[in-house]
Amino acid sequence: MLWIALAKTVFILVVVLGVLTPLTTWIERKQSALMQDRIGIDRTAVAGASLHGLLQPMADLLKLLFKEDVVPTGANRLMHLLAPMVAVVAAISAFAVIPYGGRYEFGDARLSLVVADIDWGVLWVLALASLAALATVLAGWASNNNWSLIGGVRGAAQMVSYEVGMGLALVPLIMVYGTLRLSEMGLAQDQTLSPAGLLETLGLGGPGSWLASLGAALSGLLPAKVFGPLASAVQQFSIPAWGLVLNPPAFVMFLTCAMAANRRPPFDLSESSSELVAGSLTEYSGMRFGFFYLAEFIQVIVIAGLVVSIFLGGWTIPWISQPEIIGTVRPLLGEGVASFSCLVLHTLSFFGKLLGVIWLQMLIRWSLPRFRYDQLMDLCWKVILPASLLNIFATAAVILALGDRL
Amino acid sequence: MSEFLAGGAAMSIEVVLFYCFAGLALFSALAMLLFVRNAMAGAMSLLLSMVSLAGIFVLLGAEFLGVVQIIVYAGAIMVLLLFMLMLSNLDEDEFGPSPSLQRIWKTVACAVALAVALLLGWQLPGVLPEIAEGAGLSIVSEAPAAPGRRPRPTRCLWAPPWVGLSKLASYSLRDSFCRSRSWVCCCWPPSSVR
Repeated sequence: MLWIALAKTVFILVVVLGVLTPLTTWIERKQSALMQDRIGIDRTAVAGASLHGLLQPMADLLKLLFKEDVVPTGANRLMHLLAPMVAVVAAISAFAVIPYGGRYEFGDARLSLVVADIDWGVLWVLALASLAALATVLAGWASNNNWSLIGGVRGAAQMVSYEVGMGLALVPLIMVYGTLRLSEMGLAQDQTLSPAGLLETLGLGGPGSWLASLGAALSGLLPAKVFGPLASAVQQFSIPAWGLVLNPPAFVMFLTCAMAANRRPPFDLSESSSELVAGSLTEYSGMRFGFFYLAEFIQVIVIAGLVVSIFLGGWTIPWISQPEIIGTVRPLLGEGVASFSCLVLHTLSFFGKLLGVIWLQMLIRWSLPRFRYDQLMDLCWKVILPASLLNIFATAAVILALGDRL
Repeated sequence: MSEFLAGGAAMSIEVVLFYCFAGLALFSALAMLLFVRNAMAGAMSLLLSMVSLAGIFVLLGAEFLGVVQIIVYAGAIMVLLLFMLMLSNLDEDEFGPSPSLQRIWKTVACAVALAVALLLGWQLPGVLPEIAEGAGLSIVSEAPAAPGRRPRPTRCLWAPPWVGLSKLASYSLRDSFCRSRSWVCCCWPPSSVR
């Protein structure tokens, strides 16, 4: 058991730090180049192969490692050193609870692809987000620089505000799934919703209803060759039961709040290079700056992981559930291969969706100009907070009204 | 004593983690009180103490409490506190001179001595007679009780040494930082020990 836990931990660390983070910086720079009609990074090459700039992150890392590490005069050395570490640890610890695969059975052995399958996973992520605010505050205070201090104060206020919105935006989904465990949220999304079936459950379909009479009217208008397939297609039409489908407003609010809590543009008020030099990062150089940068990109991946787990079906494959895959493969190749192929497909599906959401964040980051500070605070306290409270009430009302009919 | 040395509990990972968290919580709480002469460092040690408390809660099976401890105290309240500190621009002078290395060592040594004395006082009375019997000695000399009075318990034989030791330790602990923290002298050690 210890070996499996260790292997899962090492796997996720290697994937996040070694593959996803460099890839995220690459996506960011290539996406910005695409949107600004540039070529972007393509100069770092090994033996003449630049691989479209994929080697650039390695060169960046080398540069940061060998740069001089400056601690400004009058700064608090210990806190100055501590701040980047807090940032990175708080960012990467969130991956302990994000599942990158489901639960699989190999004979008697069971394997679940998440480092810690705890039933307070969502709370753990929120707790880490609140710790991340401290890194900004520490960095701002310890640098002995007014730009840094203003940036730290701004960043702390922003992060504390948006954590409230982040938590409230997730409450409707927690109510719908009835769990705080991210792996169970994923399992709940491994099925499809059929609108026709839903209408029938609610008593709106079936013979004698207005839908049936609409069907009868259409069957008179359309030739039978068209109507037959059309009616059966409508009957069989189904959508994945993802959180995004169940509660779209929560998705928008959560993504906004999470991106704002990460303080990347357009929410980078604590760094805002046009006003504060570099805000709380002004006095950082070398690998300490690199740690902040790393934390920022890991946070992008964490946000993507959360969005995928809660809203985009996690590791599941749309329209094809785990029992269906196993049922198809098992007669041909046996139990073990069926489980293993399921595992591989699910992991690929998770990381594919993850990259998609990372790209979406880059798209947003390069599309919008920076908010003004009052606009930022208004967005949080006057728009997202009331809207998320309304969403909670509406979701609760729907759950109450439908009761056990779903 | 024997249960501490020989048949102690197996050192599972929970036990190791518990001692780590407990030590951190105690250390950071004491550090905030005794050594730190810088408001920000004090706030950080308070934070460390809260996070280790959260760890202990999780180990005890109260995960929700642990996470809420972090979200509410380490997150919200600490950030408010840090706001206050950042905007108030406190100087280190307002906290008095920082303690000399000698005084820090004295304080630590006295705290350890106090802990050892308390531990011994707790364990020795039960254990020493057994050891003495094992060595073929009889050190329990119970005087016959006076008519109408209970016999004096054996425990009392061993009480005076450890009471004295702990008193000594607590007095020196008090003296070692009474110059900087006058209020500590007023309320600690409690009058029962004095």
